[in-house]
Amino acid sequence: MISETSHVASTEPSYLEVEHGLKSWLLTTDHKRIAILFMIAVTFFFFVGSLAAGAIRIELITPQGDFLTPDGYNRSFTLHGVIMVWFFLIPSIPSVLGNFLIPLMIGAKDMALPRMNLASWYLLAGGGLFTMTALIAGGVDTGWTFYTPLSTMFSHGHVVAVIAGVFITGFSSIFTGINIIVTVHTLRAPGMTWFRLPLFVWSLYATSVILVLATPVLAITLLLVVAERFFGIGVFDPRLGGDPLLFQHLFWFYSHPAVYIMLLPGMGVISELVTASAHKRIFGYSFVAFSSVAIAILGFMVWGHHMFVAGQSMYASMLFSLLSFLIAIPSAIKSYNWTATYFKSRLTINAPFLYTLTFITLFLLGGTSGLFVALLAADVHVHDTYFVVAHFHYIMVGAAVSAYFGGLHFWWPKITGKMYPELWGRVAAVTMFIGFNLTFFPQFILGYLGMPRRYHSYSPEYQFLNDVSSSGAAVLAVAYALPFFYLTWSLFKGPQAIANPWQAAGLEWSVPSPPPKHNFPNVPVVDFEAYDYPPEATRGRN
Amino acid sequence: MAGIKAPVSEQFHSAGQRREGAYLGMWLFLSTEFMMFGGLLCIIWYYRLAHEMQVSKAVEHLHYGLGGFNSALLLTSSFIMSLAIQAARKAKMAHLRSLLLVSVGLACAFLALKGYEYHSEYQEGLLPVLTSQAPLKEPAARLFMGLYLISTALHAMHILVAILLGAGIWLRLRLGRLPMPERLTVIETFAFYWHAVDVIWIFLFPSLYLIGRPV
Amino acid sequence: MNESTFIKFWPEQASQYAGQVDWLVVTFTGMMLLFVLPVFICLLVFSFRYRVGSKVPRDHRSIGNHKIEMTWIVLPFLGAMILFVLSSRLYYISRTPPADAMEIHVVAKQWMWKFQHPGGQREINTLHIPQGRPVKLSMISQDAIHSLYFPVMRNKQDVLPGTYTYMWFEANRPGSFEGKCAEYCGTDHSTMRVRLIILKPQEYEQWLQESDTSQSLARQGDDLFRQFGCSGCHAAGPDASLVRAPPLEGLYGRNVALADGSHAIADSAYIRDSILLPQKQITAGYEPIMPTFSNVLDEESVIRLVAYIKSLATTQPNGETP
Repeated sequence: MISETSHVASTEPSYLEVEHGLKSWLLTTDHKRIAILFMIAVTFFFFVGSLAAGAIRIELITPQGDFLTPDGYNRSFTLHGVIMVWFFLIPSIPSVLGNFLIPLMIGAKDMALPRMNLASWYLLAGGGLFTMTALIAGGVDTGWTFYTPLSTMFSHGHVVAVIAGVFITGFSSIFTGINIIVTVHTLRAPGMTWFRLPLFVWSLYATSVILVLATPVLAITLLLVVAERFFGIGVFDPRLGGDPLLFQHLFWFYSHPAVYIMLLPGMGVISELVTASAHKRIFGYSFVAFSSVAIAILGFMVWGHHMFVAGQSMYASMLFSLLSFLIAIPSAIKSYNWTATYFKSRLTINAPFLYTLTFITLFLLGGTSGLFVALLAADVHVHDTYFVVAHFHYIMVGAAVSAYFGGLHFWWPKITGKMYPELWGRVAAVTMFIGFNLTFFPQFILGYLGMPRRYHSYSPEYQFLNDVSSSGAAVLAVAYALPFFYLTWSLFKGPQAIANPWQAAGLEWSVPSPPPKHNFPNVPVVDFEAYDYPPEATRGRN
Repeated sequence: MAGIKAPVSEQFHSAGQRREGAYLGMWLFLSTEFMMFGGLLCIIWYYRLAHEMQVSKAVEHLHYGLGGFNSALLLTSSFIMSLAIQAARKAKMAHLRSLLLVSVGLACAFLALKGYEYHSEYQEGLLPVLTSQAPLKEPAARLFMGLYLISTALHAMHILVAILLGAGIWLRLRLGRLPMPERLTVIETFAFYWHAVDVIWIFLFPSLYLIGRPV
Repeated sequence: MNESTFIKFWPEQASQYAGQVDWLVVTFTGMMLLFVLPVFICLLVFSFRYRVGSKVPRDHRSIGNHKIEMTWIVLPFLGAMILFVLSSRLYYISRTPPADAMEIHVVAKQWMWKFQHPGGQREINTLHIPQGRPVKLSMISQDAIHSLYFPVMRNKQDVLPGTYTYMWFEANRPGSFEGKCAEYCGTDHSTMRVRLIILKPQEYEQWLQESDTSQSLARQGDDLFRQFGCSGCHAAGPDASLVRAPPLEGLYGRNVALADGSHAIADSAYIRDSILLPQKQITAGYEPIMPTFSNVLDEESVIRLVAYIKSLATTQPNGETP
């Protein structure tokens, strides 16, 4: 049901205006305000992580290690990984867009567990600041993967402090996951059956299952690293009877599903953006919905593909390789279905659409490079090289971050009540596409050429491609900075937004922009399917 | 667990919906506990299978009698807790309070015995970190003692949390802030946690103390 | 590097296996393009054709089609499975050294690579190998996990503390190439490189003779055996002490009965553990009284001792792997 309201009719104050003052923000239980708190936190951490990325790319302009000391460089990429993974990528879409939109999309007045929601934010902000302090003051040089025995026996740094910070933040993830699952189960409006839910909700539900089941395994793994480092209980030390490979199994048992925590929400955003920009029902709704579930389940079965050369059995490697191919199937289904949705659509070429195009293309490149590394013989050559770095940045940055930015732009009018400047939005999206490819495509070549990752200095023949990559990073930095400025500008000077500026389907567009504190004056009754666009788009509708 | 008139409940339309949410939320939280201890159990079993003989040497030194008695204490306290729920459903407040107290008391006894057990192990020189672990020669045996210490200490921390929560609930009952059966959800979800901690012990106890023990 | 290049897009190959990997990769890339390019083209075409305001037919819009879905699931999957099988086959080959491979021992430590040839020649950060012969590297780390990576061989293997891991290749052209450490191992990970020098067979023999060594690995191990008093317990015959220790003649490769009733093959890992972690596996019928040498012997010394004990199982005096 596409809302026809074209002006803000509500007499209720919006959630932004209903209360003022610091306390009303820091003690809020309103999911929309909590989403904004998360937005501020993840933006801050994104900035910090980007600074580290900048240091890395500057260092890699020249083959010699002349910008940072070796230890300084190692600490930089550790900081970059730890901050970006746990304090930006994992919380970004679920805790910002998920928190804001899920109650609105299902017709509820808030999330099911509002105080747990606020607690989740404090854990992220507190854990993040603590971890960041430890990473900067003294630093940790183990890489975000903390491989033993390097992290337990040979690293001189605040390993235990950083681990403690990550451990605390794990609870933030778990709380968000629990909240989303309980909300979707218990607070759907009457008539909102599972198969009428927006696909964003399906994706976030699947993500939450992973958040709840995988994060505790990281918790115990990190605890054991601390036990070994602090107390000398040699769980991973061969001289004390332990097994260093056991760490890798435990770590990747969490960290592989974790990458789907970072990707699935982005896919959910894209499903919404595709339908909205196409003004058309998605092609193959149930296939896309089940694909999210399949990715979540299969994601738990492929962790060994990070260990093909680690010393695990040849046959185990073959099994993990096979399962990794299987998990490509649901991802492919989604990509094809999104594209098919655009067939005979009525396309609006705006910033969210450009971010969507970026996502689909970069995700396909990243995903096929993932299949490349799932291929055993190929992976033996490119494992631990820049090929892998390119692969995961195509997915984590090219896809997931584009989805976050695309969603931010798409729902900006709903969240803030203001329209962002469309021209700048498009400029930023295109700049991002160009900058991203310039930065990361050369890294595929560098990896195949044999340049290992986490290298502070490298052989001179890799310099040209590294320089292309570093210049791309400068362009990318501009592309990410632009939205920060014009989105902030729009808060003060942007034109007022109507309830449904995109003429999109979805319950969130039926409330004013921005919504009142309790979302719906009356509980909506849902008697329409998801993406209820008319089969024949009428003429004259923009 | 909100008070009766808490504004946070606005998102729920009915008490039934709220109860469903509380149950589901607690079960999801418990699933995280099972995944964490499950990971630990996998590690314990991996080392058991990889170093059977050496682990046996360590198991030989564990006090299975003490551990067994402790298991009985914990099981009993779980049983008492389910009786407490029955009392809560029937709004028998005095019964509820005393049963809760007994259950929490049994858990305290568990912790006390655990402390005594650690003390004996310390005196026998078995504990890692604090002693030289001299009675055990094999590296895997010493590692197993380390895993025993980590697992039981982590579990004991969860018992402590359960005791504190239980004491808190007892206090609120005493102050009349939790009328029954309106606030039954509080007792029931707390009992889920209590039982889960017990179930985890049921898996830990044989994995650490019993299996591989020379007969 | 052989020559200084401004820009390279493809690494050199130094083995037939490397060529096979490249073919697999090219085929795979081609297949992926087949599955992905149509999407890019469709996106471009649709963006243009179906933009708001364009007057093209939009009736009969489908919201799903099981047949189409199954097609684009099954076909790419089948294609990928073919490549999975091919790749697994290549992987199997890369992880199964031929029985007649020449064994070179590698010890990785922060931040250098040490190589020991069977004839006793030692190298640091340089590895000379002959062209046309399969070479098996038997590797172990002194500290953290490292990884020995030879891009020109398209092969790498993590090097672990406490366990031997193996990698093999057969060079098919001479030249000087670079090997690198490919598992982050601390401060100077980036500088932990190897110069791989592949020599024609005669040149290799020449190099072997010219290298600064007087003794084979096994002879060096023999010296250590006496130096650290192993013969005090393990020697047979009139020199045997009162302490009963398992005899080492003919031990290597044998199936050993252990005190707990199980059996183990006396391979390099078994012998290494017996020296460094003697309590791990006690031979049936013996007391667990062997002291550990983990604080006095490093991995290189262990390698020499293992080579010596291996030589007790064969009749060849220079201790080469049979």
